[in-house]
Amino acid sequence: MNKITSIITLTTGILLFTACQDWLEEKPKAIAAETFYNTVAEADAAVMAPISRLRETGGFGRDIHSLMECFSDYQYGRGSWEDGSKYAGLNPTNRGRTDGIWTTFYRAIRDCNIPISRLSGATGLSDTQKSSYIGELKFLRALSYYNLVQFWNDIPLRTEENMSEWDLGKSSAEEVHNLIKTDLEYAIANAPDVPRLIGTPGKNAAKCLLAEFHAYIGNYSETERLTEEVINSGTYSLVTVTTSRDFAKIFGPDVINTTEEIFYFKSSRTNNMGWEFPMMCAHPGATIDGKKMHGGGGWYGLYTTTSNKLISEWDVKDLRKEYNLLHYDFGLGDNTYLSTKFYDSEATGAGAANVSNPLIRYADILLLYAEAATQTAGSPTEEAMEKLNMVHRRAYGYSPTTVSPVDFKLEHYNTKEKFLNLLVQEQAYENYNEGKRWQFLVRLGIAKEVIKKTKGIDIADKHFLFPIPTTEFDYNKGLDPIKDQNPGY
Amino acid sequence: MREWLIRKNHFILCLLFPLVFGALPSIAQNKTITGTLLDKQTNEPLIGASVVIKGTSIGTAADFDGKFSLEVSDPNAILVCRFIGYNSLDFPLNGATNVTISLSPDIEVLDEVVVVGYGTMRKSDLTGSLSSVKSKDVTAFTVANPIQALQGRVPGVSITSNTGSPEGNFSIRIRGTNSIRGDNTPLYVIDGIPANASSINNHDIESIEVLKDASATAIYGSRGANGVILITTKKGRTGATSVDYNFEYGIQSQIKKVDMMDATEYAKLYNEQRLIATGKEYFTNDQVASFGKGTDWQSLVFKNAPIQNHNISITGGNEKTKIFASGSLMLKDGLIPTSLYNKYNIRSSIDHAISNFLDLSLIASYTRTDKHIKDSGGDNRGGSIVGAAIASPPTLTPYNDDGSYQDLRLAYPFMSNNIRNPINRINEVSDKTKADLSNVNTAITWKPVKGLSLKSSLGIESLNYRTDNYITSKYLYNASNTSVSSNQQTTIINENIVNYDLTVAKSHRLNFMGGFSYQEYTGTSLGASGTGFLSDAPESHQLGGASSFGTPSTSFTNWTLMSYLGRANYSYKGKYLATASIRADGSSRYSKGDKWGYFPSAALAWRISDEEFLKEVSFLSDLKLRLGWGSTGSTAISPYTTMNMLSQGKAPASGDLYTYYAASTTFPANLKWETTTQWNLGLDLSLLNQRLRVTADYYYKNTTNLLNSVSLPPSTGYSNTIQNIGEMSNRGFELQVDADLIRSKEFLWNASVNFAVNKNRVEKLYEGSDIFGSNINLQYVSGTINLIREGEPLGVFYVYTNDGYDENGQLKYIDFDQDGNLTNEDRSILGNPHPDFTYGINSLIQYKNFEFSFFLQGSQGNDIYNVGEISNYDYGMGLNLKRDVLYSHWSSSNSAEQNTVAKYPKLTANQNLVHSDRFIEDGSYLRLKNIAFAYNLPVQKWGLNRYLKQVQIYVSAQNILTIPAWILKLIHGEEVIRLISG
Repeated sequence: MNKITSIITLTTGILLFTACQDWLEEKPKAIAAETFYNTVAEADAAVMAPISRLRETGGFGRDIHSLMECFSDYQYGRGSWEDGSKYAGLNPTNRGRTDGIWTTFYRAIRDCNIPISRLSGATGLSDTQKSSYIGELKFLRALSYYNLVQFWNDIPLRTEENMSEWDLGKSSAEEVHNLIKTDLEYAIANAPDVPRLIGTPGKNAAKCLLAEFHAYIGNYSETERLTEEVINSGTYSLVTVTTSRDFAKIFGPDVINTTEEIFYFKSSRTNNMGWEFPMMCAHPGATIDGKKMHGGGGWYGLYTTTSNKLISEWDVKDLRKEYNLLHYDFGLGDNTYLSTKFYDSEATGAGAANVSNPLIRYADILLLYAEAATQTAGSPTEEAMEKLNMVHRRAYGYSPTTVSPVDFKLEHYNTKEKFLNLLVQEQAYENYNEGKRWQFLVRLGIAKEVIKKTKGIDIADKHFLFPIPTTEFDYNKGLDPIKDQNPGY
Repeated sequence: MREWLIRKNHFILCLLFPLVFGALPSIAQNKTITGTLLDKQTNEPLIGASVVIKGTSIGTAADFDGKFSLEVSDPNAILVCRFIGYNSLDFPLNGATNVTISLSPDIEVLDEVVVVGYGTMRKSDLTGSLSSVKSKDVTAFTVANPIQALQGRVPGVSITSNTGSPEGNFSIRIRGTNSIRGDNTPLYVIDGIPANASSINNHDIESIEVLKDASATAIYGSRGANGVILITTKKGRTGATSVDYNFEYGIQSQIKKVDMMDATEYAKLYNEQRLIATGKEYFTNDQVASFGKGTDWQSLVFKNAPIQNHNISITGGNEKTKIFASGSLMLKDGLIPTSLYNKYNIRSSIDHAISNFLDLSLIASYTRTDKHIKDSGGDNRGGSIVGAAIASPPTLTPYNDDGSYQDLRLAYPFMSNNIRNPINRINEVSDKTKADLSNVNTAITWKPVKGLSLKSSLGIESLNYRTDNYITSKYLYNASNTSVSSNQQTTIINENIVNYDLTVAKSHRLNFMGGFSYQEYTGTSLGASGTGFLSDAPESHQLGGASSFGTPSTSFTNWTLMSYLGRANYSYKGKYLATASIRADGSSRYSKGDKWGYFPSAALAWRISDEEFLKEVSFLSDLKLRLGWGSTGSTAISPYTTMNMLSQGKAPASGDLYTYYAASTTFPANLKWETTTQWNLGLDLSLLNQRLRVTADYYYKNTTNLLNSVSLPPSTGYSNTIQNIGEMSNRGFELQVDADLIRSKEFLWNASVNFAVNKNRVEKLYEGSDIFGSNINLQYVSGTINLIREGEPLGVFYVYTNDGYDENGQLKYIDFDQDGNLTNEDRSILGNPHPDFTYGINSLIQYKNFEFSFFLQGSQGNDIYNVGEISNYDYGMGLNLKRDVLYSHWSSSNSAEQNTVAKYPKLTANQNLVHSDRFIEDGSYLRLKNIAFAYNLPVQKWGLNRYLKQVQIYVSAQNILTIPAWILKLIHGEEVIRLISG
């Protein structure tokens, strides 16, 4: 064997290997964004993304509802949630939660923006299909911005046009309102009449959200018009009940759909994809009908007591009272009550309660109509009183559409003020524990007054807006930490 | 019992010789020579030493007494005497018939061969900075991973244990931190193949070489930036077969408990706290009086744990074939009951010379690991075992009166929702992993002509492990559930290296090396889970019985690395040395167009002691000056980071689950290699016949194109992106001094000291502005702590300045710019986590049969940010706190003086807490890492040396003393509990 042969063999070997440069190409077994958003199945999957985001703990999964309920006039927070019920602004713990809410909403907005921009060029969809999906996505984006603007007022406005502009300054609340309006109008025009799945947005959901939005900006005639459309379409009706336990047909576990459902975040037993908020309300030792209130225990972060006027004055014949309140002594006295609207004895963990989150419900629309009609007319109308009575009748076990002994009479509440006070009280009992109370009180401008009356506390001004997260100021050069932060922080 | 050695029986051979030749006296004028072979220093007989008549193949071996008997024809014959570990000796008989021959042990210091990248080199020819740790130091005490044995032994190498888990998680840095994002772990090369270090038992290691400077590591190109650790395992050798057995048994215990309150103190504190919060106390006076000491949760959670290690190895061979085989067993219990880490290992190595030109080597090893882990991480407000062991109220017991577990969250209305009963968690949650790691290395070396060798090697590492998690129905916080995952990771590496040695005109020695290497990794996984089981008996082995299932998952990862390398070494009479190397690495992880990196290096060395003007200096044995430069890289990103892949999941609708696809929260970007360039100047000095050896190195490293995760504002919808953000430098000095302070026949005292200084600095950030570390968010405080800023060391603490208490007993901070707000302008750099210097001191004393050694290791000047201490400011959650909180806190009933010096503020639930210098502490320490006392049984005196070469009994203790002892360091003295919210 001589040197030359060995060198030749070696060189040939090396040259052979050099040819294989494409060994370095990465071939991941996953989907690249560049090739996605083209077919019906891909569009379906695109819409589920922001829905999944909004369901997270830092979104409607737990933190938003919990904070809203701590701020309500009929409940109190306990433990690390206690501070919210002091109305003095947010302590560090709660700030951590609102920071998470900010992040969750913006991630959902991004998950809407990307497909909104890509679907317009989809190769496997017709134009109507494209608009339909974009309509659904715009509803979800509007929902996110509607909440963001209520909690933070002036915020960075991110749409599919400016997705990669990292340093985005604040836009005024008016500009955000405009986007909400255009998005919802587009959704009303283009989203499916009947939602594709129970839990995806449709035209009616968009109408209802737009109706509430118009009430928020004081545009009651639009609210009246939109809610009237939804009511008159006959798509929805109140579920009748005869006993208090019957409310479980509406709010209890394992309910797939009801005639009241307009837009809910759904749950499933598979993979323990439940709603986390019921865990906040439950106590490990509490039982309903002999079964554990929540299979995963409970944090009992919310409770109420009979020293609260709304609770002590709640008529026992109102079936909602027995359904919603459970007397339970967990160490703070023997007059404490847990909120039992949402419960699931079969839940296998904290996030596993198979209960739907009733974000937009038919009863809300009836009450919203009543409010808007009264506001536009200047005084309560027959129609307004009728809608209020529908909700009220159902609560006592009567049929909503026929006159009942418990009806409110228009002559007893013949001024706007008296009627609205009645409405405010009815809303508390109907939407008890649904996370809607605080925003309702703020929208009506009566939050300070109501809290002072029921809890005896003066709400600090800074309590009405959340602080923008410090991480936003740290990394967003378009924002100034002194000038752009909300007052009091 | 340390070792015992069996020797083959040569008895029969020795008898035959005299018998045969004795019967034929007239055949030749043969004379019988008798003699004894001894060790020159100790006069011990060299059993089995060979004696051969020079020029013939006539010879014999010494018996158990070192005696031999040989027939020689020529009275002036020369006897060639050989024995492993000794210098061979040509002994002229000069007519003698009875001789005593003494062989001197081979000191081997100068001609010692060390392993370097892709080859071996004489230690005297080294041009780079390399430290060597021998088997004896590697096996000083049992460690879960042999790399941990390097702690404190090599200057510039710092090892810290991160948690107290029995598998010994640790992090290792060589010459400081180079990379922010990359894991800064050096490359481990075992017998020439990059591999996983945990597969080896430390008794199978012959030596560990640590390559520190670029001229040594550049040959490893893209993976050499963090240093390279070469592990050489024991191989077979020619000679008699020998069997070694080692056995160690020890107990591990928690050194110091955290000083928490007892039950009475707890009640007193919370009475005061509730008085402030609600206006009335919670516990009645009778209750407070009845509590006594209560439950000592720490002693329930941490118990002494035994550890034992058995290792048996067989070595043997002849000129053609050498074999090594070993088996070892390590059984290590963890401090938390029911946690353990067992390792079973078999290894064998065969070297066979197929012909004069062809050598074959095959190394095969199999390791089975069995781990039962209890989470030893920290979670907020008592949410983990370790957190709950400290924070659980001493007024509560783990069990109720009826024997069921107590749910601590329900005990008091102000109790934290997050606290877990640690005993419930220990007993009812299991996390077991069984791993099979197989390593096969095979190589063929072809030596067609003198000086030329071509080696092609193939290494395959296959790791398969399965993890079973099971939570029983008695767990208080979740329904029974299980999750099972199975992972397969395969690495294949093929290297083809050509080496050519040539000597020109006697004084010029050259070596050329060139080659090609290809490495590919593929990883796959499969996971499934289920919730709600009727019975806990099957544990995780009947997944089908669950009442609801999780979505199963699978995953796939793959990366490849292709390299070309070349090196040339030149030595002129061993006096002037030069080395140059280059490596080109292509990695699949980087963007197209940036996949290749080029890493050259060059080094020069001058053995000044061989120069004429120094040759006559008697006390100077060796003086060498080295200068090296090189460039190395770092694969600091995961595969697919530069690609825009969608992640998938499920969301519910219509009572079922539907798939969604969304972009990940990391924004993809085009990325380039991180490159580190290093200069090294070194000095090797050896004095007084090598009784004093000094190695000193000064180095400067600069890393460019640092990769880091850059946070994006949350309003973008992304959380971060990865970019090449800047440059960082490390410069430092390392010193190692080894001395045989006393070296006499009966008494040896060897001491060594190592010392290292490293200064880290961020040289440039491409955007110019500060980069904040991650947000450390506990429920009661939130914010970033570390900072990356130009001109400062990496990760300095950028925090607010605490200014004592205000008039309400709340913490207050200095508002430097007087704008009425606490913003970033009020933060400053108040701490540096990098040590000023690190050091280690080793001492070994041998007197007759006794041996005493100790090993100290220390770090000076490093600050730590004690995140765990912040939990002592969290009042109102019912958690147990340090005793000091009760006896030294701000109170309206104290005097103003008492309040100024109070260690803790007023016990209000909402504290004004931000990350401040209040939590920065000096992390300097000096630790007695190992102290051992050994006794060698006098086997020879007792006449047992027929069967046993050596038996050593020893007693040792690890980590028993730390100066200063910090309160929050528990297991192994270095762990700091980091309570971070999940």
